[in-house]
Amino acid sequence: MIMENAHLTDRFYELSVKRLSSEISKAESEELNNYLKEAKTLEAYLEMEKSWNEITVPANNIFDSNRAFSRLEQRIEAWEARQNRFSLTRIAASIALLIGLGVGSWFTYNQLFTDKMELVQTATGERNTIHLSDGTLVELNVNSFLEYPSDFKGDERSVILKGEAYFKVARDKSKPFKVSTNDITTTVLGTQFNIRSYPEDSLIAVSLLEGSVKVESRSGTAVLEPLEQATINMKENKFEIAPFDSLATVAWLSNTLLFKNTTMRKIALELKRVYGLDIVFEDSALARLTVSGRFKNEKPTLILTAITRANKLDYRKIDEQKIEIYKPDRNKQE
Amino acid sequence: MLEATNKPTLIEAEKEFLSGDKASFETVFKEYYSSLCRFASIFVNDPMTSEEVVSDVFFKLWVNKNKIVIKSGVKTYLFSMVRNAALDRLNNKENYEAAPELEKLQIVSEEDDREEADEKLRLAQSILEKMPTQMRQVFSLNKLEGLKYKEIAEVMGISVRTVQNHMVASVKFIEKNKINLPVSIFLLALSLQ
Repeated sequence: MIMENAHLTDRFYELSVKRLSSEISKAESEELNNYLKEAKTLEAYLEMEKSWNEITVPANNIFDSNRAFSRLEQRIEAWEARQNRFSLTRIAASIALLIGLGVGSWFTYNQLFTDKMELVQTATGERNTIHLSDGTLVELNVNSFLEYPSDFKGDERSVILKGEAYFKVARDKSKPFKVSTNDITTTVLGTQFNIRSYPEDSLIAVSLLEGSVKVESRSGTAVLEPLEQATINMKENKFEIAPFDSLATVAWLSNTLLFKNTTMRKIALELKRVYGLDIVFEDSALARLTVSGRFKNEKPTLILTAITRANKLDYRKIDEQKIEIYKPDRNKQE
Repeated sequence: MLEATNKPTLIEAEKEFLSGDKASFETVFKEYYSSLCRFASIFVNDPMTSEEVVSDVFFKLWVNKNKIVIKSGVKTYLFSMVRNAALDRLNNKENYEAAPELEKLQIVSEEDDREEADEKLRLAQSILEKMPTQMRQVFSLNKLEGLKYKEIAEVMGISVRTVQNHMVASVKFIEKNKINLPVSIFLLALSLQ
């Protein structure tokens, strides 16, 4: 109990409250740690922390957002119905105009629409499954982009990819399937493969699981056998063919992050794509440390804890999405 | 976490919040609804009225979506809209919501049978209710709804320094009021540790 706390300064309170409310800076944190070396101050801080933790949002949330939203939706729909009644006359006029213009240009109009390209873009942490009109299945990984025609015409099937996707291509020997990324084109006849080509990575990798594909790039061309991977290094203009770890490559399909002696820098980049976390390192040397591990459906905090502990590091939140990985000073209590 | 879905993420949804895309509007609504209702209840005192206030704010935003430009973040914008709406309601209808205090207590005790947690919660609630309202707003926004000092300053139209002062004052307030609690309750609270 802190009956007598006259010896505690305003600064101590300010820093303690800042730490409790995650507003503390690194320098302030160190300053507070100095205060906490004294037993009496530490006790006062712990007491404060206890009260702080006791005040929480009631676990039984009495506000039902699903119910509230459907009520709001009804209200909005009623309002929109009222609005539309007034604009009906305007719609009738525009239909007449369309008919008047339409007949002569119908043919070109029709053509324009059948060649229409569809775009699918995934955000951080979001994936998408796309069924193309020829039966091909595309699993689009986070932060990626696929452009494809709503219907494949002509003598080949062409799509454009940015980011990473796994393809299960429907067999059609008469119409090769082509994936264009930044700099390379992959042509297939019916197969399963994975392409990873994020613009921020200097490496593009085409990994073949089944069938056969032809990879063409400025730095080389090759036909891959199953379980071979072509890696193209954009910076150094290198083109290499090597066997690959198929489990690690397509781990993302089963929501798994798999690291094998992976550098912290690469892991940080991956966590940014998947969870939108912005990770910085206190010291750039820390980014070169490596970690191995497998995380299936895990929370980002657990992954962060695991990868930092493995290297005797720690992390702290700088703001909502920004996290700093640092080496704790063993002389101080953090 | 990583399920393949067509629903917009919160970041996307906030960008498209008032673009007319219903899915984004829904995502933002569901993300902040409970928080906003809890915040509104600081002013209007009963859960049903807080829900009304919050839903009204969203309805008006949808209706006027073409005229509105949100300059700050969506989150702080929503909290300040709800704050204004709740204060309006309070000023215009002083007598309208008389004594809903009992009702609220009933709801809490009916739905929460776990006695110990219940007692702790009521303790916390009673301390919050004793706080001066500006202090309570600042504290609730930070501790319960997770807003940063800067965001709170935007919502309330005060400086970050003032937010910080309120935070320090509220923590001192909590410490002081814990000591003043009746002994029985206090002992109970201790036995829960």
